[in-house]
Amino acid sequence: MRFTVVTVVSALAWMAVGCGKDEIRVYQAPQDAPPVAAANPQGKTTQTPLASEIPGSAASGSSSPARSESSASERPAVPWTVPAGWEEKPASGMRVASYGVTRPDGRSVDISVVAMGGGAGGELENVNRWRDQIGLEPATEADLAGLRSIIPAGNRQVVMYELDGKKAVLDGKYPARTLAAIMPAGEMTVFFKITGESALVAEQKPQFLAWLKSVDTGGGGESAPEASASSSAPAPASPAAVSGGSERASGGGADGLPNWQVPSGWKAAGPKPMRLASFDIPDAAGNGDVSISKLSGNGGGLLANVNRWRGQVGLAPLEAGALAANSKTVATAGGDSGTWVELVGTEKTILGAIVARGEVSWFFKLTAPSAVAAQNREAFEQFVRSIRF
Amino acid sequence: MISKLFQFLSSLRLTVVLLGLGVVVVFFGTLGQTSDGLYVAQEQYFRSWFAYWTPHGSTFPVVPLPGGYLLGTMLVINLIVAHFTRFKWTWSKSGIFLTHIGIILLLLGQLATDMLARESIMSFREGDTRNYSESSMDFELAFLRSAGSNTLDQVVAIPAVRLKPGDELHHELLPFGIRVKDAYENARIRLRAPVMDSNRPPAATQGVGARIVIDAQPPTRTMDARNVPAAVIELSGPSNLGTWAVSGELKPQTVTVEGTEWRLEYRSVRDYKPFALTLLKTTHETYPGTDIPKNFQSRVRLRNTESHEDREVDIYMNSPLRYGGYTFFQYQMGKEQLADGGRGTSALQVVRNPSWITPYLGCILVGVGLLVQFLMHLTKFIARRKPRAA
Repeated sequence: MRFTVVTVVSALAWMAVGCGKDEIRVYQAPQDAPPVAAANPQGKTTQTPLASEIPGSAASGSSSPARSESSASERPAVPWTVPAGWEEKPASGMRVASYGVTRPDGRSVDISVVAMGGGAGGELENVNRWRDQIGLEPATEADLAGLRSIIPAGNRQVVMYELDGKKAVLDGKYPARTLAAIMPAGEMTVFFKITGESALVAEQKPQFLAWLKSVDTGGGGESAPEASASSSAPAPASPAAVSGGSERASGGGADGLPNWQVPSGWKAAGPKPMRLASFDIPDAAGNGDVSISKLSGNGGGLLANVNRWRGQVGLAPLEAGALAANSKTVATAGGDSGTWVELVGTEKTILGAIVARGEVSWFFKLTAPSAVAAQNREAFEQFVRSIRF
Repeated sequence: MISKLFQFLSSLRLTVVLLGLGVVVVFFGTLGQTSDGLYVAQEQYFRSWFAYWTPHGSTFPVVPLPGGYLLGTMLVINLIVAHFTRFKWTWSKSGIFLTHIGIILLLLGQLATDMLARESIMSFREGDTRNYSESSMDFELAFLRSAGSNTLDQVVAIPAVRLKPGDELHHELLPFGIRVKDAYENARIRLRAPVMDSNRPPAATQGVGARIVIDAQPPTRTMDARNVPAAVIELSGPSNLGTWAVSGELKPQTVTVEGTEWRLEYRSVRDYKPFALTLLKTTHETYPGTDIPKNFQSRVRLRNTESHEDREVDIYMNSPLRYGGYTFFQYQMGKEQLADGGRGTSALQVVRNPSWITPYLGCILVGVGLLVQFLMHLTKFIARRKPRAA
């Protein structure tokens, strides 16, 4: 009897351990209410769908779990050289990296790298958000050209904005200044930004520029973002992006260009304004020219672009309703579809494909003497069909 | 042989040794807490049968120790066996009897608390309604589909501990198998930046996983941070559904299998309640000129459709809400959280402990037993002194 009691108590104690914690649970539960709109670290509601899928510390409010902070030595290596004096801070939310500089008198600057999907809301909207943060009035699209400069980042040229606030927005004592560089990369846009007390930002500007220069942008070069196409200072494109043989490495796109198969006989051409890539088609009857460019939005409209091309080969513009009858749809290997036009003029022919993808439109265009264009028509169409974004 | 065993189990020497070992375990448990944190130390030293102490920085276990479960069980056995073998019931020993019952109740009550008590967190913003609280430590991979109505979900929840790389998991309600490709105890999710991550493939082929990378982080042991686990799983049903990245930081993703839409979510383990709380207002007061909190207060609306209750309650420091077997304590209310979008947020600690009464009962029994025993001795002593005085 006594022994039984002891056995029962021991057995109960044993059962108490590890009971049920590892079981798969099945239950019915009321559905969750739809989530509240997520906010990005800048404090505005984000436009990109991805941002709402990745809750940062700000996005998920109090339910966001605290994270452990790893030391700098445990972080993955970053593809740039961190300037001396910059202190690494834990990246959070959509930040890929975060640095800071603090002076004993309390002045500080914050340096961030943020990657966002697509155009991340557009250049004007981003610039105006930064302006708002340092107490500047919103700019208009027309103002942008005057505000931007083109600077080197790695082996590319990117757009940078320098915004100088006059109001004492920091602690009511100091005005703030922001330098922000925008680097399109594939389907994403990477923002490099330094912001903080005006004089300290100015002092750190050489470091910031050197930092951008040190960014490893990979093998391929690329021009400034397409938005700069509307500016008066078009950036040169690098031939490196398209010189790597007949087929671009798969899994690439790091330089913002899609993958494609280059027909034999095409030669990668040197830098040209407003273009992301160019090819020459050498021919005794006159060289053909292939250009690849990208514009934000619909690039001014499908019809307007087709009519501009028509003008270039001496054709009359089309009425809005006539475009469908004068174009066809072309599908790319990546599953995108575009509008294909063949504009045969008396001397020159333009073959073009316009592919709208989200917030940008891609333009693939072959311009050549009509005979050369005709000979290269199949090759150009195969080139367009081979494109994978 | 058996009588020798009983003699050993009932001996006072065993009691003393066990209590001494208890002191030693508490000592090494406290040392362990400094490097491993409270929760790990609790599991390792007190919620275990055997433990060992390893000096900080060493991987070699140095001091073997009995765990808390072993000591507790042995003490209960010692007490019960001693009671039955040596104790003879007389009125004069009723105080000792009560004291023993009280100690047994304390020990068993602690075991029951360990088994049954659950702590979780209910966090919400002003205006939000919650009918569940979330574990602060444990995660589960939940697969959800509509349960046929617009308001209910069928949930299959797999505990995080079951997600081990290489394992395959199946459940009769899931139309697909789950193969765990990677599992991280603590990880950070971020967008895959094409320039920076050109040498790293995306975490998964499907859903948001195709656009992110997972950075493994060292597990945290501190009290004010929390591990956020992540995993890469492969779903295979009638067809291969590709790989998916899941993380405590990601929102639900959707996969459609044979016309049924399933959502998958790696989330804190949830405990649903038969009632709901709505956060109406948060009050966050500090002492003037300082950041030292003076008062955290949450005004909540409690609604229970079954009992038709609908009332407002204030929860603040030292004034929890006790309802339906749960106790809701005011837990967190950060200043920066108050600034978030203008809506205050509040976190309540939710404690469910069905055996909360046992320590009180145990202490009362021990106290009464000691008092009875003392009074009996006192009356005997006085009775003995009286004739001498006379």
